[in-house]
Amino acid sequence: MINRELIRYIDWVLIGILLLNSIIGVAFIYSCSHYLPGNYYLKQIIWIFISLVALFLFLFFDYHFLADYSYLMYGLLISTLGGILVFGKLVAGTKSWIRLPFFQIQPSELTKVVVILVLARYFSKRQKELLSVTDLIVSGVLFLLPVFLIALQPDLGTALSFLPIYLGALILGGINKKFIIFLLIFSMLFGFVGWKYFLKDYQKTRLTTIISPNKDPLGAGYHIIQSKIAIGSGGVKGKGYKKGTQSQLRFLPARHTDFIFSVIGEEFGFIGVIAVILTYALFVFRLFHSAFMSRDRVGIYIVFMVSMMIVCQFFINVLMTIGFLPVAGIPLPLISYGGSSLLANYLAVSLVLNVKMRRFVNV
Amino acid sequence: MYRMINSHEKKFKNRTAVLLFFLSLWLGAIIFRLIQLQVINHAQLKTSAIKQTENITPIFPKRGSIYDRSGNILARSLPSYSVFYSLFKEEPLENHLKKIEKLRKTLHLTEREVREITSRIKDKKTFIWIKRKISPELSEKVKELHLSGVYLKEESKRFYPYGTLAAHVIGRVNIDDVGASGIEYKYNSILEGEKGKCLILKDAKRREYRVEVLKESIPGFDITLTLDETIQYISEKELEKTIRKTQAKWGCIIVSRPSTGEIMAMANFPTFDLNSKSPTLFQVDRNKAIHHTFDPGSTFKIVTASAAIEFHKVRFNDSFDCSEGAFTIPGTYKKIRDYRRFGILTFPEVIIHSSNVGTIQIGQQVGEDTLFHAIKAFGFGQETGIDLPAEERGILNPPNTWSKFSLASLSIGYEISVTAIQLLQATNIIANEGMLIPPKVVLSTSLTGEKDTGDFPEAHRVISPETAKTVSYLLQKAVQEGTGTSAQIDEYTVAGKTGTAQKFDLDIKQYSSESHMSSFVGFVPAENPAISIVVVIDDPKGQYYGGHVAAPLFRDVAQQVLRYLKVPSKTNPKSQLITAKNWRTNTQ
Repeated sequence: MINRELIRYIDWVLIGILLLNSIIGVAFIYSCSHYLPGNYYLKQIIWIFISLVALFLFLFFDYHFLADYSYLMYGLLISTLGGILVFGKLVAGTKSWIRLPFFQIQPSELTKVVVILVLARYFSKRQKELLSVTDLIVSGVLFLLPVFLIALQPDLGTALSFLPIYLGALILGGINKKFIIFLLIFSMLFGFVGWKYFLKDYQKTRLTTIISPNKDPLGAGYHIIQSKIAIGSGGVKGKGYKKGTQSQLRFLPARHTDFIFSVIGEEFGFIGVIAVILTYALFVFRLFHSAFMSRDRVGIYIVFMVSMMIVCQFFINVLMTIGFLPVAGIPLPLISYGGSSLLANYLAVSLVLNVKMRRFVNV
Repeated sequence: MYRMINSHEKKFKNRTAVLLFFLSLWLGAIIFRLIQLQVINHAQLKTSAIKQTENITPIFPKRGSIYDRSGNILARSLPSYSVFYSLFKEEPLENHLKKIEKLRKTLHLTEREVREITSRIKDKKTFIWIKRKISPELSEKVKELHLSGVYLKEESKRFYPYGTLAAHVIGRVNIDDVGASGIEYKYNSILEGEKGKCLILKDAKRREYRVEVLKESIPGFDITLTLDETIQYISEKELEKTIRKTQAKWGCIIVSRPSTGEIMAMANFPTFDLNSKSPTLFQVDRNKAIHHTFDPGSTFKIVTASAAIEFHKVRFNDSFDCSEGAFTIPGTYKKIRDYRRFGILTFPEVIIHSSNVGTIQIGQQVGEDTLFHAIKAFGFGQETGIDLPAEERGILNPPNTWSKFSLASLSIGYEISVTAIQLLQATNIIANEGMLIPPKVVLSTSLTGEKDTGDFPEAHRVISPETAKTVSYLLQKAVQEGTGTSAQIDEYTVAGKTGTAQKFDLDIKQYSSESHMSSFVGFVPAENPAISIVVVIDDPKGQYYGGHVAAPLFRDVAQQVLRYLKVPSKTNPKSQLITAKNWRTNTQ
């Protein structure tokens, strides 16, 4: 399935930027957790290797093949998600982990990749100008099913991070203006009902805290206040590597995961975060650009949805650390500590590489 | 090259462009925000970052100790621990309550304390005292509980080895070791020392990772009192006995060394334990010996007699008609009575038998102005200046406000209010051959380093030595033959005067015939006074005459103190041998 010809077309630059971002991540994970037991940076390095291997293995399969079998994978993952809801153990308040002998993994992260394949497969068959109502309903069910299962774990942050994927598909598929209005109304209604009946109190306070974090500086507002202090006290040049008091003295919560951007802001200042944003912009731009090189609709859909997924996660995370969005538990892709998320992102990038390198096949 | 439908490709490109446009708007917002945080608000947020790691706390100095004149420790500070609760993490209320419940069992917290702590937790206070100043053993138990958010702070706790001994003089400190009464209050600035400053760097879990002393604390200075632990003990023991026997409301006794004004014992009963935390009534806490004022009655005749002799208003052999047993104040119908009919009394006999009728006649001869000035010169109507807080000065009205009764009343110790310490100071004038030496309770402080001996800047002459000797003679006679016979001590000559005053009843605005103030004031040995003592017993039941209630107490205390001080007696001059003890007491 793969030959030398194809290897020539692998986008090594994209892999390079991918690794660059991962290494930046390891550096900051080390900075803010080297004094803790657990060797987080080492684990992250191991995960990078595993993910890299997975990325290359994934390339062997033509994305058409993957798309064709995506329904099968989808079915498997849905039953896995359902299974851990029933049989899973609570870890840190959620049932989102599968424990394996040497590591644990969150299937919800991998679900993202499969959902991308399923949606790409489904939408690529629709050839009309605009999507029909049936298309929307079928795709909506395909998309919402795993989202609901994940929301039930409960892991609202991960569930919400699925939204950009579907949004990407809709943008590409083209939807009726009336339907956009319908969607807006629906989502507002959804939000209202969710607020009223489904959100737990702590989730509600997280949302309201964004408006007035100082109301409860040691409780709900603590994360946001400490993150803002971390970023702000870094100033233009930062306090220096491993010299951030907010992270080293543990004032900043979830330093190596959700709030790693604040650590960068504190230790490398404005210059540091702009540099990270730039490498990211480069990465995202190259992802989006890959969509133009796709030879068919499946490819375009895959690349576009992957790009949306990664860029939106990045934005949500950064907006959260600077106090513009509620604390949602969404990591900074590639940089934050976390194997499952890393693996999912690598596999997603692998799909993009896959599409890109097979652009000349059968021309 | 691409097999895409052109219109589709165009649309896709447009949509991507719009999407990227929106994303760059968000990116703009992010960069704007970063500039706001990292450039504009940088200084402020940097201060917040520093503020939550740095903590400047005072270093409390060791409070000075209080000693008696022989170096016995009356008050000292010992290390102790205070438990506080401080939690930065959100926790459900039940978790807090579980921990408080565990602490309640270990520390024996009262229900009220638990309620207060709980309400403070509900108010989301970040620093809550659980219990202050617990013993080191108890603090170990708290440590063993390993409760998150529960911390121990080292503090010092005031400890009074003798408990109730001289409680009123020593006084208390409040929970923050600031003097609240007595010597602790009066000399707080000397005892407390100077606070130091300490910079503590803490991480988010409040673990200290660096401590830097910015300024060392300076320990407080020690204070040595003139009190003698043994004499104080004797006084308290005997006073309590008397109060219990007579069922009196209150009583006090002060023992001083007339020649220096040093107070060797000052006791009040009821009293309290300085170590007990249970709040006592404010009234009990007060040092009434210097605070409570009363009409002195007959003991005050010392002043009248002194004035009469000093200003030659009567001659020694003058006699006064006391046969009626009552004296009608000129121009009124009011009569003042003696406790019995005496007949004709000479001047000395008037004092010896404490005749009111006779003393009033003497007072009439002395005259208003002279008596008033004598009373003032004897130190009444003003503070003695003793180094204790909250001294009362009593009431002495100037002659221009006096009524027709006033001269008569004053000459026998009414219409004037005095404190026990004032009475003692006045008596010491007689003992010191006419010199007024103000009383004091502080012998020295380690601040000055030296003991101030024999230096009496405020000492001054009030009456001539001859007058004083004459009055002393009268007082000796009063004990030998007059009202004070129960104050007699074998082998020593006692000089003293009884007093039995009707208490002024505020309800009926009259002197009460039912409740009395019994007193005795005197010094011994009369020829060379080693000690002087004032005894005041408030409202004794049954027998109420000073001669019956106060004089025996004087005798019992004086007897033991004389023996303790090894004061040479008339028949046993051997004890003049210099022993270590009396050498010390003689030189101090």
